Amino acid sequence: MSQHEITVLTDVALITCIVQRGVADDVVRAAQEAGAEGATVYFGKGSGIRERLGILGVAVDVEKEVINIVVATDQVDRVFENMHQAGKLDTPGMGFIYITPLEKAATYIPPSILAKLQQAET
Amino acid sequence: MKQAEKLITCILHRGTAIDMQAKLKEEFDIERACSHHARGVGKSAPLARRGMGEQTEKDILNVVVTEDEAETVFLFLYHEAGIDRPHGGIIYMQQLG
Repeated sequence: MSQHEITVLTDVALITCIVQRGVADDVVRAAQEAGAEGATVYFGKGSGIRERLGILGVAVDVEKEVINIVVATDQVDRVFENMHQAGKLDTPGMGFIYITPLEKAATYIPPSILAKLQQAET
Repeated sequence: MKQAEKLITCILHRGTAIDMQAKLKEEFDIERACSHHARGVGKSAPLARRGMGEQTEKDILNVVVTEDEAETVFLFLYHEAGIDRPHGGIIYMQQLG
């Protein structure tokens, strides 16, 4: 196993957004406009509010898309608000969004960016 | 007293997660791992074009580890799963309640 050092990212958070199927692209686009680099999207099946809305529940799709985005903590509020707005999450049945703090994250960092970060530290 | 546990999540290329689950079992005797598929959207992905960026198939690997082994497993997955290479994915860790 390699024992090379890695550069870990602290001050990062995970935004998870659950929306009706077909809405994820709009929400991801809104997140990117706010500064997010990318997103991971997968399918799920929801239960809860649909059963409580009665006849109006037919307008709430059971099939869901779950969006995960890792963002820096200084961007998280802006990305969160953009996603909330784009997904119309203030409307009953449209979805749910939450933030989870991360201890750390790691990914490939190009040497040029790594050099800039090290320069900024010194 | 129950030991604190952490959740390590990796976003990897499609087809990688199953191999990593086997390696976790072999190396650390960890069986608390699961994986599923997802769609990745990113401007920094290769061949990204205008708009949201390229969409690629991903594997998501989730593994629950104890606090003692968290650091070792994190480093192991970072190197073995190819996350230390360009467009290799991302790995992150969070505390479980």
